[in-house]
Amino acid sequence: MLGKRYVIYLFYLNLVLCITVFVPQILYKNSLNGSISSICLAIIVGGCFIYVLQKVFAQFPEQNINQILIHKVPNWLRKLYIIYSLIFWYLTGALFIVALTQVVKLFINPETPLMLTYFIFLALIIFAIVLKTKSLLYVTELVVISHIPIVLFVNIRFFSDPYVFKDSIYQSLTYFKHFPKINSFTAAIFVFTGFSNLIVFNEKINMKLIKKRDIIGIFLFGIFVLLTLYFIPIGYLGLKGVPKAVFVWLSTVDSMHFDYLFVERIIYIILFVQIFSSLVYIILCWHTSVELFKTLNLNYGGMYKWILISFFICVTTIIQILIRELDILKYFIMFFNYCAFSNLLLVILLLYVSIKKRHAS
Amino acid sequence: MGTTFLLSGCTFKDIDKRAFVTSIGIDQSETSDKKYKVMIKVAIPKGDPKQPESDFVILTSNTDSITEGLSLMKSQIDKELVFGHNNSLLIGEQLAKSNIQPILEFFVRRPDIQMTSYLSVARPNAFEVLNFKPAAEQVSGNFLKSFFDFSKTESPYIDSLFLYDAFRRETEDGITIAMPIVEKKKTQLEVDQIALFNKYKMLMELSSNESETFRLLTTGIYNGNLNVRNKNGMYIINMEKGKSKYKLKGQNRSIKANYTIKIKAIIEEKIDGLAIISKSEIAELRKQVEDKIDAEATDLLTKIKKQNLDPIGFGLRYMSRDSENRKMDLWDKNYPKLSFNIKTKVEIKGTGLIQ
Amino acid sequence: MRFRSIQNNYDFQKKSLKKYDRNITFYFLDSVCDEKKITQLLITPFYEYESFSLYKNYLESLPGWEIISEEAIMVEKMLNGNVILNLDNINYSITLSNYSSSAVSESTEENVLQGPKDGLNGNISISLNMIRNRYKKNTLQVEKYIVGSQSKTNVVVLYDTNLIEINVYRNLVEKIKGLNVEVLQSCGQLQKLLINKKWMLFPLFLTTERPDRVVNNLSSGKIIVLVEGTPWALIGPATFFDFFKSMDDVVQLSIVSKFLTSIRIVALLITVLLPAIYVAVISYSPEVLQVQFALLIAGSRISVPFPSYIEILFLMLMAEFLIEASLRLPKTISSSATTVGGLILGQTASQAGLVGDIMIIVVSIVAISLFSIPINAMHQAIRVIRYPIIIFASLFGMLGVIVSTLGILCYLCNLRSLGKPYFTLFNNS
Repeated sequence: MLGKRYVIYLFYLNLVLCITVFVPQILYKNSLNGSISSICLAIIVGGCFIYVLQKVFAQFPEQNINQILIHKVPNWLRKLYIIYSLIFWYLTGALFIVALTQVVKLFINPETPLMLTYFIFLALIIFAIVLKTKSLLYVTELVVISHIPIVLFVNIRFFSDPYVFKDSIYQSLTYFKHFPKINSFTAAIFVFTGFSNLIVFNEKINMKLIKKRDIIGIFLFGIFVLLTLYFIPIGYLGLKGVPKAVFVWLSTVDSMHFDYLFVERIIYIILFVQIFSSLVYIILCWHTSVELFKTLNLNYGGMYKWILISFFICVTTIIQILIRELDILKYFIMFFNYCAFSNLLLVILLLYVSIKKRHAS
Repeated sequence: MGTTFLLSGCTFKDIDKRAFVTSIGIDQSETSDKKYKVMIKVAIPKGDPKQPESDFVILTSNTDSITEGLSLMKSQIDKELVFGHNNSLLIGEQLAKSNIQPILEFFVRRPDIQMTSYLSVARPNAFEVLNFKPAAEQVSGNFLKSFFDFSKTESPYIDSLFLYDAFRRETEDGITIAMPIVEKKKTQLEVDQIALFNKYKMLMELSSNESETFRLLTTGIYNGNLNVRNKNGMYIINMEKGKSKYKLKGQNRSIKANYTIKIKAIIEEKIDGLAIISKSEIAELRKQVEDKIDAEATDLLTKIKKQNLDPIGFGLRYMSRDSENRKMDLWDKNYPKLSFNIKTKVEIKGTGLIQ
Repeated sequence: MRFRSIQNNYDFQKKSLKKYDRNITFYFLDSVCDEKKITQLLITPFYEYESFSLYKNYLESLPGWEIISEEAIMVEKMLNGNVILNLDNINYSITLSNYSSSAVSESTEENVLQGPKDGLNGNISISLNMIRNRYKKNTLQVEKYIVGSQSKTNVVVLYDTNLIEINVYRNLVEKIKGLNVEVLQSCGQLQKLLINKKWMLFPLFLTTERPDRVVNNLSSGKIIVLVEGTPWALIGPATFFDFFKSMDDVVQLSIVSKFLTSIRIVALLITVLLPAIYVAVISYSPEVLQVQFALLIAGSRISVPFPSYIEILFLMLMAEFLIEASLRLPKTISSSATTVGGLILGQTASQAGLVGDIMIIVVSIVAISLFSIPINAMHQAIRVIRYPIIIFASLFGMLGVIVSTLGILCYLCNLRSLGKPYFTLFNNS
């Protein structure tokens, strides 16, 4: 069994991924009427979510969602839920690939055709999702540990930069008196709930060892990252300027000035590390789908897995061709709403099973 | 074999087939039917690393839009233009006095131009400044960059302006742009004045002394100078470190800006005689310096206020506290009535090596 | 209890001598005792002396004569090279140990600054002697297997029963017993047979020549396999980062050793990634470099007619040929060959304008970083893995570097050495 620190890695990966998936942009759409209160509400709900997830999974050590549900709910419900989860995690990965290829095309290789970049990523992801679960967790550990210095770097630079407009940040804070908006709320809560692919990884991670202290630590760290996600671009681009920027965080990082650095633009380093962590997250999402498919006990023998994977490839390619750069924000807003709804379902199901177990014993 | 086949579609281009653009300058067009004259300074690499020579080539084109200009220039050079290293953007004085908004928007929109490029006004026009070749320069275009890179700790007359800073000053309410002016004087470049803009164009410029005071009021100065004359002679005070903060006090009708300026100074030069400077003299000098700085600052702020410009950001500060109830038009009405209350505190640390 | 467990060892011997109606039995470990002395001093006199009491008086004169009453002391004495005699139900011990140093040679392939300098021997009993003398624990278990239908090579497995995991042990032993090969001649061949996959790149077992490394690994719970005929030992299960620890790290002070280990990992990153990053940055995204540096490189490449990936492949192949040549040539020619290759080829190639100066610097940095990895088996794997990354970089730029690095990481993390994960930063229990 792997140690409890792998949960922290999954959580961290989700946090840093939010930059690539336009969470700040969605929050800025409502920056003048309701985002601040949405963020506060999301913090509270997110904390509850983490707490519930940890408590329930500690009750069912080393069992993935299929084994948890197997005797507690009727069979048809279980199978339906697993198929639903499968589709959900697949869509997560697919949408994130589309977002990632867009960012890469704009900044790194503007002349390489989009489909070529997409196929390279796809090849890597297909290679990686059929590996063992524990191996992928080890890869996550490595990627997270090499990502931490970058985050520290950016934060330290923000706090020590004399050119940041603190007034803009205060100005944005004064708009808290509005009612929270659904879109901002679901986008902010994705920061806390994206690591719910724990439903498959629980099999390999020993959740029993997590204490209250760790939960509080994770929660505080999540709050810190969410706040920096929202406020740092405002400090650099101004409150009226942030809704105008398409890739807010990349413009922000580009605005940080370093006198002595070995690269010309810090945006390249951030972008490379972002690609690493985004790719690992997408691999984890699709791996979750494949593992869930395996638990459906379809006597797969290896062939069904490949049928599923080729199905993934076809659908993602179609999505990639059809989505245009301008619409992608709309799809992400829809996706985050859908994600919040799925996580709500998950919480209800888990609570039901946990209460049933407690009554039984 | 297979690699060469694939590479032809893969945008593989060696570094010696690329041309590095280090500065971009935009002027008012020479021909009357076009709007802009776009110029780029391209650095030419030399084979020998031991002899630094910064050769460059300037490409120009007269167009209506900057994008068109940049693509026209691709046909003037055989290599591919790379804008990623570009770090200074010059705007000609004539153009600065008409409209800079479309220029700013273009530069921010392009992803391959750094947001930390330095903006400046070029006098007499951008072409002269771009054409200038200093005596010793590693890479063409580095000269301007090093001016602005170290402006925090070297010259007290200039305050560098980043592209992202200009962008947010354009879009925010309550703050306007302050850009340094690069002037070409016969054999050298001089940067010691600041130009103040409203949202569209350049409205006024500050002299060197005023620029120094302006710098003191915004980001703080290092190694500034001040002359003070009293009955004992003329003294030159070197302000080693000066910082200022302000608070806005009062409600809608009468708003006051309370400035506190803290300066650490030493007496650097004493003209008229080698007499020892006594302690009472130092105290007297201190009072004089404080008064002088108070007066200069008040003059400058009033002058800026009269033109209805706000480069220090009083409007932004006002709006940021309780911006639901405060509106910009209310501030616009009250800005001319803003009064300044300046308190300077000077600490004269020493007098150098002799008393 | 301890005595019973020590009887399971392959080198445990029990002899009973009988003359007329007197028997004596004695026990010893033949790897640490001198067989000649036993025959000379114990067995022959037994058959020469007429009366038993004379024999016993003779025995009392032998070195190390002691009466043993406790089992623990008895086992300890045996591990130290003593023979335990059982006369009339009283146990006595005699010292007849053998510490072989004459047949022992210096370890030539792994060098350290401070620390023992001897290396294992092709003769298993001498190797066992060295190991047992350094690790005198009674839980050290030695087992022998015979592998190879024609060569019938002795293969000895050593482990510490308290420290190993049973699954790992069973995994290894089942594999050894199930080996189906005609001739087994060396340790490396055994490693290939144990891994048993068609496409293998990374070594999953550590091979070493030094007894102190063997003992170090024994005490941390690994299993050692010795093959008769070669002075190399296989250590499993191994992790990727084991290959970056030299025995110097145990001898040096802790901060120094951590610093050196981290330098080696930096060297690994440089040697794998630098050529690829160079190609990617030069040909796809020169905006990453600072302006001055970019112009420097552009200036140095003005005279070069080839694109950058051909340059770097050409130079790296030359470096590979050089390394191969210096390995195989006899010592008399090798120094002149390397001079020709290194100095003349590199220098004149750049002067003739075939390759840029900076390219030569890059390739030499890469070659030097390669040599700072302590274990030889990893060298070969790293040499191979560089080329796919360079090819990806020349096809897709920095994106290719990232994708191929991630792919290699995933592949590495998926390897299992005797059931335990191969590539983890921290130990997972």
